[in-house]
Amino acid sequence: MSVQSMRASGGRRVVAVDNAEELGSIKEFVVAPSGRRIDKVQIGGRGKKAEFARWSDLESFGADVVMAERADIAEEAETDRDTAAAKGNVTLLGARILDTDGFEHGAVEDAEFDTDDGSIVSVSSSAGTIGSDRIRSLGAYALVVDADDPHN
Amino acid sequence: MTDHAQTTHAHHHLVRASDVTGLPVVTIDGGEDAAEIKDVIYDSRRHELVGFTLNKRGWFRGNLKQVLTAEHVAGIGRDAVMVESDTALTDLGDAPAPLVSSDGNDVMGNEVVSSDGTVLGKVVDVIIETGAAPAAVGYEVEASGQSVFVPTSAQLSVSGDNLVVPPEATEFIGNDLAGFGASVQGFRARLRGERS
Repeated sequence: MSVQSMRASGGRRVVAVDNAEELGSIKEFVVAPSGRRIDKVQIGGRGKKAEFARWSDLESFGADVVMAERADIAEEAETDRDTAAAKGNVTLLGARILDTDGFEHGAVEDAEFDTDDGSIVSVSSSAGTIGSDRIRSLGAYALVVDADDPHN
Repeated sequence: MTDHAQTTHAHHHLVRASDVTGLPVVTIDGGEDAAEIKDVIYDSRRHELVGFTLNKRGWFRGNLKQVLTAEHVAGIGRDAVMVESDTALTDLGDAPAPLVSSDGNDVMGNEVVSSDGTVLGKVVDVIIETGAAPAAVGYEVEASGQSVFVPTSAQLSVSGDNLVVPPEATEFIGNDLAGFGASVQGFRARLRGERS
């Protein structure tokens, strides 16, 4: 498993394997409602309409360059989730962290993800690091995480 | 993917009902703010927290035609009231009567009188014990400019003007909310002991 920082990955170039064309750069991550997986990346830098690449269409997520399988993988927004991410309404970075007891714990400053499958490994804030096993959902209002078990 | 198999281990702490007003109602399975607490509905005769009336969130605020019953609450915290999903909200037509008429909250301003004839002050707030099954456990009573906390009990009677508490309740009055939780537990233990 190779883990990378979501914040450090922003702006990384996306290049197609089949013709070496530069498609743009990573502008945003579309994270699943579960908050535990990256579904798509938004690619910026070409045209006015937001373009997205499915995680499954990425050949590799390198430390320097993100390699796409083909030059034609970029597509327009398909779901409300895509649009919300592009507008900055549902993003993991900066999300308010709210536990299941109703207490806030700052905002997400960074997240680590597995470059193999796009799964979120952990999120971090000024309050500390939270493993993905405690993440319950990511919505427009908050990243909801399990409250600390008082018995532990 | 949602994680329905996971359970929420809600912590218990005490909050004033007035502090809950205005909090967002947030879904655990979606991270969305489904509503906002408009009012806390407490049935003073049955000493029960019935639930909450709701406002819409966002720019177009106003009454929501749904309510949140106490049993559908997953947690009440400093920053939000948590529900498992938006299906936790109940349409007004299916809601318990006090949540529709909102006439169960007639305890505010009542004079609290001990059954030995001592006036303790006036009710200014209801104290809620949070957690997966939130309950009303006491009153904040203002007396001579100071707040004290009086535990509720099955022995209370209420008229809309006066609220009568047993003399032993006065032993468990707390001067601060943090210490009041222990007082409530002590008071309950006393009542259980007297019944057995």
